Amino acid sequence: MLDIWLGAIQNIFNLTTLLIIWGGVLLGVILGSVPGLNSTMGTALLIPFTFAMSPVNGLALLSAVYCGGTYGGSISAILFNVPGAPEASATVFDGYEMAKKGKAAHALGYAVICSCIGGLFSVVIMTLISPLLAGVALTFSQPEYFALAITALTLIASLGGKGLKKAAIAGVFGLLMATVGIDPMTSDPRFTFGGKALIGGINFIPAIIGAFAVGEILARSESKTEKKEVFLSKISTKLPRIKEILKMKWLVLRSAIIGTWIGILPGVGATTAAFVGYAEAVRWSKHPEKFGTGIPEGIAGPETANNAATGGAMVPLLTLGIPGSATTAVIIGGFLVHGLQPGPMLFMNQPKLMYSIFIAMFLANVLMLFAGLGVAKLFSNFRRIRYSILGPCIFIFASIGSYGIRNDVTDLWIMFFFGVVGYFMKKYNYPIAPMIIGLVLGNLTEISLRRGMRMADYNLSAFLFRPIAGVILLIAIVSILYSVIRKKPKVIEED
Amino acid sequence: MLKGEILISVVVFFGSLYLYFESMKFEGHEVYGKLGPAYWPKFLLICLMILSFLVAVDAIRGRKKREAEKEGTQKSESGKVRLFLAIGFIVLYFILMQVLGFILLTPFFLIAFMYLLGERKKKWIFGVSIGLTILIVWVFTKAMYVPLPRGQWIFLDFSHIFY
Amino acid sequence: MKRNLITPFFVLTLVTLCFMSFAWSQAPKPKDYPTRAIEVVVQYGAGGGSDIFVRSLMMPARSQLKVPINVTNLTGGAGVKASTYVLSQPADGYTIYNFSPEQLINTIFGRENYKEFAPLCMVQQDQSIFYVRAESPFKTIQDVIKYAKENPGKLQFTGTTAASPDEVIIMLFAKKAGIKVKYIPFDAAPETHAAVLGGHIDILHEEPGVIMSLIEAKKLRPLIAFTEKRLDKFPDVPTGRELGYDITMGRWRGLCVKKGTPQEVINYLADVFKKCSQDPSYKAIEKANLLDLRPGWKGPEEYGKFWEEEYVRYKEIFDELGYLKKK
Repeated sequence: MLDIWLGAIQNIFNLTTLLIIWGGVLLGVILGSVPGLNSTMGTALLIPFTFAMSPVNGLALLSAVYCGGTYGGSISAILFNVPGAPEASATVFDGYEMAKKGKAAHALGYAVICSCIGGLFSVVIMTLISPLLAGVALTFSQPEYFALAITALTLIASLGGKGLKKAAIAGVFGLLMATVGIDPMTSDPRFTFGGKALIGGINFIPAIIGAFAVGEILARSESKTEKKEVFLSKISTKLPRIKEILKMKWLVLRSAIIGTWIGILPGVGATTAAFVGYAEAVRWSKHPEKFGTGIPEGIAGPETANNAATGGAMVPLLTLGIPGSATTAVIIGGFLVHGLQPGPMLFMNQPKLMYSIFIAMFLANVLMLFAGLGVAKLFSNFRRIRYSILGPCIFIFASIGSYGIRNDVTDLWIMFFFGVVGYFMKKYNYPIAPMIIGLVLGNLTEISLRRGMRMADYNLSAFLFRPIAGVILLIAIVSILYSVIRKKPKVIEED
Repeated sequence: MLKGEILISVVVFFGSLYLYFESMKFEGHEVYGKLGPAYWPKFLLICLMILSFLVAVDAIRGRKKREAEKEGTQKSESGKVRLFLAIGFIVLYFILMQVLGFILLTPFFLIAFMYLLGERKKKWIFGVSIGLTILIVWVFTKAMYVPLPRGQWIFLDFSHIFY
Repeated sequence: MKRNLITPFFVLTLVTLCFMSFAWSQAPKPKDYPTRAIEVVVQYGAGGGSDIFVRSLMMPARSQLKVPINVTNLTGGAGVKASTYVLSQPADGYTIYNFSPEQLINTIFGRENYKEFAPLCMVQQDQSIFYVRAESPFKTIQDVIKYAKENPGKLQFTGTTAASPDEVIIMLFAKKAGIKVKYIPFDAAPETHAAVLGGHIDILHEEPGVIMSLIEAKKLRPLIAFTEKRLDKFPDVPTGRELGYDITMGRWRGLCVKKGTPQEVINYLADVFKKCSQDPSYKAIEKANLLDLRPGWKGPEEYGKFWEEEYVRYKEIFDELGYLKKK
């Protein structure tokens, strides 16, 4: 065992490999931070280049890009209200609001530190108990996925602040939008109105960019923009104090565990992890009504979880050959060009390579702290530009960000539609976050229910009364009751 | 404000009703047993109808309290014009993009939008618009192979010169 | 000094001319093609089987065609989005499309029309195999059939997406074996592997390449292969044909262009891709994915005929499944 570790350390700690990891992280952060580019694309494009490298270097490069890209998305989410990568979608909720208050530096600092902690946590877990976790993940079936989704969805109620019904409308609307397109269970087109435009469904990226960034641009063009920008206040990436991070230690730990676990589950990845991380941060918070107004907890929750999911997603990939996320599916290609087939045999035959990847990912997460701060600093310079110049530029990036997800012009119209919807929602006090959560988790909720029920021969009790699913659902119900009871006295105070 | 609140509820209600009828067409076959493609959307649409009704009731009941509150920040007429112009620009941009292509159209859109938002420094407007377009085309098509829209006919050939 | 330069230049020209005439004898290189970058559209996400196939075939193609080749992933709507895009481009051979069985299935469902494409070449054909997990009580495919006959409609099969080639093969098998089974579709292949490994679903339909490691680790057991003859890799696994279920299908991958593309461009491209499919760099990836076990190459005409055959086969099975019956 020790000699394997020593060999692995030797594999990684040489100048070439270290430089490759550094370059990969930097590239990942940049790709992640530009809307329209993301780490999945980056890894797919890099695979031909890794052909010429040794397997260790090639795979170290790909996993470094993967780690960096998952953090990078939060930079543009915080600074411009446009998530640079799908994983950063939940960071928009509080990140941009915090930047608006003139605390962009703080927000970016929280994002990078929490990403780092989440990433390191999951790598350590992955190194120690990978095979065990992969085994447990396989016991999760459709009812467990359903319970997980429902638990996160119930948080919509706490997000709305005062207007519970409006939050519910927004959430259900999001769930409904998720049903557009070809039904995964029967292949029937739904709400496509006979055309081809909507047959691909509504991707949540154009929707979130529309509702947040475009909605904001529309609102800004309506109000006079002459007044001096709040953002002109000094933007440096001053890190939050250690004390401030320590205050959130339980939240970060919880998000790290949730993120790692969701990353391990096949079929759900870092994006779902971020939303569940956000939802759980709200659930356990003493002041859930403050979420969405720009508080650090709203950044720490999703950012810890999505980077924790990167390590998590590698667990089933390395132990079973089953990728836990879109990017890890691409990384399989990185194994294949070297004639390697990730899975249990590789784990047994080439443990040194496996541990080298673990070390590379650990290093990547540490280096991310520096790369992240550097790129964030670079980007925050753009915030000094007047809105009359910056606004249109953000709009162009918003458009490419929407278009680039699937290279489809329909997504531009979807973005525009959600921009208008977002504008009216803001005007009439409908919270936008529940709509996005509904849209992101809609497919998981519906299909795990219908698929699970079909597997259980439409026997509801067989579907629900399973130990793990039951416990998760019970937690959801108890926490809803608790939040209702807790809210009661407050309403009286307000009246 | 109240009119708008109720209008939204009405739109949501009747929109859901329409989509409910639309979803009744889904069940074309019974291959997949009981929970067919329409099951979940129907459930959601019923929820939406009930909720929008409740919100409308809330809005009417809370009218007096609302009226006492100050109407939100009064938006000027020129603001409304700017808003509609912005929406118009965006719609026009997306429609024309499929004909003229990204590279030809984007500088004009940026120039127009910046002017709309009150920017008057010509150096900035033209410099940023053209510079950004070139930068985006270079990074996205050359380095990352994102096929930005190229347009049709002669404009397609024009775009092909660059990417 | 000058003379020294001219001689190699002359030789080089001669060699190039020789090569050109050699190329001429196979399929004439069309005039003015290609002069700019070629776009290859893939209707599935980066990292999937089709994406890896296209990207690895395009690696040697770049040096053959001497122009940049860009691979574009245009996902959504079972490939309808990508098809629509390809058809919106001019028929000049600069847009190549990864034609998959889904296009035939979409035609059956009336979402698009495969006849709008012109076949280029089929490059590989995969092998369909059924697996159970190691702990499964089923030792042979006969056990499976026996169980299914005793418990009609209980046995669960899984494959990727609804109304897919996976479902066609599973249902064709069920029909020939005279059993009733349940098909549970998942959105992506890895989810089906996890569902079978976790014991939530009885039988997995999959191509062997992607799960080789799991088979070698004895976590998945192949039961029956739908190939012409037993595979060298699995000598103990009977073929469908041996057991009296004459099914020799399997996911195939090939390329097409928009109909109306000049015939000389089609012939030229088919020729180029044939050479590419022999290239060592492509062969290596094919081998790693176990795609070299079955001859897959088909030229434009053959491939077009194959589309027709497959179309009829798919339509028949979907008709029987009740997919096409409108209430």
